[in-house]
Amino acid sequence: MQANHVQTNFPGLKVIVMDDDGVSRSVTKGLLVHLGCDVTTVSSSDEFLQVISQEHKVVFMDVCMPGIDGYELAARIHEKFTKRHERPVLVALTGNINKMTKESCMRVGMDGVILKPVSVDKMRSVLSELLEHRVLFEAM
Amino acid sequence: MEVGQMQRQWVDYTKSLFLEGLLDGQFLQLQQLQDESNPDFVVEVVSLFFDDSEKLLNDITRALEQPSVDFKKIGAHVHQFKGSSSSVGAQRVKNGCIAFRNFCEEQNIDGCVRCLQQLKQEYYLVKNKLKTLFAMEQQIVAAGGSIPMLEISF
Repeated sequence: MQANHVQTNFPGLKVIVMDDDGVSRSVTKGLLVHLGCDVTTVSSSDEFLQVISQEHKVVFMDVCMPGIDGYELAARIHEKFTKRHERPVLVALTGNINKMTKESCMRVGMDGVILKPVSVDKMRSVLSELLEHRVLFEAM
Repeated sequence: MEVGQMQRQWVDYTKSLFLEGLLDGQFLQLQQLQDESNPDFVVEVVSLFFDDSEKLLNDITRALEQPSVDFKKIGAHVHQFKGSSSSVGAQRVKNGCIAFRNFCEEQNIDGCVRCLQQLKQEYYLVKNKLKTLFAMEQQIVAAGGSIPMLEISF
């Protein structure tokens, strides 16, 4: 990705952060707010399904959650938004990226996976890449 | 003590936390997110970390005391603790959680008990150090100074 294509700020970009851990959720939210995003946070898949709408452009979800995990939720999102342009971009947040995690994410139709915690620079380049290409799967 | 001296002490103290491995680069990332619109971001997030951590440690302690130990439940608590400690840059706590999780997977109760002791030590150490750091910051601000920008290369 060329540096001159990276956006530096994302004013008003509607994003959902789903993470059952309050600290991780707050940090990810703080990071996205710092980049100008309009952030909604949820702590469970049930809460997520109540708030998601076509206005939300990106979803960052922790894949390891109790109950309905991120993988199952991704499948449900695809069922809910049948047209790709209406569906938010789905990015898995995980503390451990390995080949299996990446393949699981791809299999359920996620658009990317990133290792958390995410730095400011990394999140900036991730959002820029996602908004331009709608996909982010880096080479393992 | 004059402001400049307080600021130098703050810089030296903060650097020591990184040199001792108590904090890693993620803590610097948190500081980057603190600005005029979010002036207390670091203290708020770290305070949340303190509250959640103590609950998690209590839950893990009780779980290990049960006649039939639920290693899956303990593993889930440790996984969460790893995530939250990683999010605030508490490196030695995070590393302690990684070791603890391995013992949970092996269902090694002695290993888990040892890890819990170690984890408590690391947690309370970083908690005390961070509380001292925040107190120093309050003193600097009360004296009319600002918190210096810290540059540390890894």
